[in-house]
Amino acid sequence: MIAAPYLELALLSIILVLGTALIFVVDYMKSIIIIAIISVLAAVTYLVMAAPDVALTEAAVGACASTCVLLVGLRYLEGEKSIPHKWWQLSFCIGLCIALLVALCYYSMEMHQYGDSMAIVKGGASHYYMANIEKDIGIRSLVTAILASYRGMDTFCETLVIFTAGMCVIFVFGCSCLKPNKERGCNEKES
Amino acid sequence: MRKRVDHPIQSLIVIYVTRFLLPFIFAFGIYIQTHSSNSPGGGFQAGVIMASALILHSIVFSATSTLKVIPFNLLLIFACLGMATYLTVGLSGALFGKTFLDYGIFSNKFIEAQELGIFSVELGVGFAVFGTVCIIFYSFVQGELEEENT
Repeated sequence: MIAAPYLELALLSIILVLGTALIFVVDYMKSIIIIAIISVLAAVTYLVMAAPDVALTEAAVGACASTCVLLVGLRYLEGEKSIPHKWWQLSFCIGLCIALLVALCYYSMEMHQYGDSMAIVKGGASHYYMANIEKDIGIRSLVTAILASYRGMDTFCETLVIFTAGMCVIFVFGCSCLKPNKERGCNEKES
Repeated sequence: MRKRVDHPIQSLIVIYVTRFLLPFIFAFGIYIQTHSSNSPGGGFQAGVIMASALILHSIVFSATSTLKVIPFNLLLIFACLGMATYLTVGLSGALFGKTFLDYGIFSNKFIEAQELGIFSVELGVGFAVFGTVCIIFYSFVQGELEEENT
């Protein structure tokens, strides 16, 4: 694991370069591909930082599902081209990015080092979880235990949010897939 | 006039690699679902992985052929079933004099009840996420489907 910090540095700097490239890209297709690559690299970064749950989610949602939805959505925009950026828009974006980068770097100095056991997020409840998981829940995966048992109500609401999102998409796009009569009508016309 | 597109992607390599990979992706999803208690992953990840397998199928062999295997109504039922599973498990604790999402009804032993409760809840999350992600994808594809049908 000696190489890990360098690996993280390399991955994060590639993500930074790709994110900068995203400003200059005009084509929708190219920007979707760049977003997908950023997602894959982010998944690898999470894996290197020992968070396989987040890595799995990022790889499946960020790199696969959302990219496919964006690509399908791109077909609705066929023929439309995005307007090339004007120089003042570009310079404004770059200025904003640099300001954000400087601010984040400045505030990251205040943060605890990665993996520091004295960090605030690691105090309080997490000590209790780590000490009592075998006694309370009896399963080995800490993340699953917290998600499904200690914080079951939160997970319930998260699932409800995803479910509601799906229902909203159905209402927005209309549900012609759900109308068997219409499809049958089409088939009859053919035959 | 139906414009029948059986293979939108004409490359044989893509078709055969997809045919080879699909069962493995589904098996991986089921593995993530059932082994959530002692390895990384859980219901959400499993649901999304299985949904992505379905999306891969519909990209390579047109969405109409995928919807013949798993119709849109079935996906809707999956999403509702998953949500209902979670709610039933939660409420069943509340009905028998315990708190919401207390898994006490599954077994008299505390730890065994927790394991069973977590497993069933994760199953519910998996179904709900699988159904919902597929619904979102197919809602976007729909316009294209109508073009093919008319």
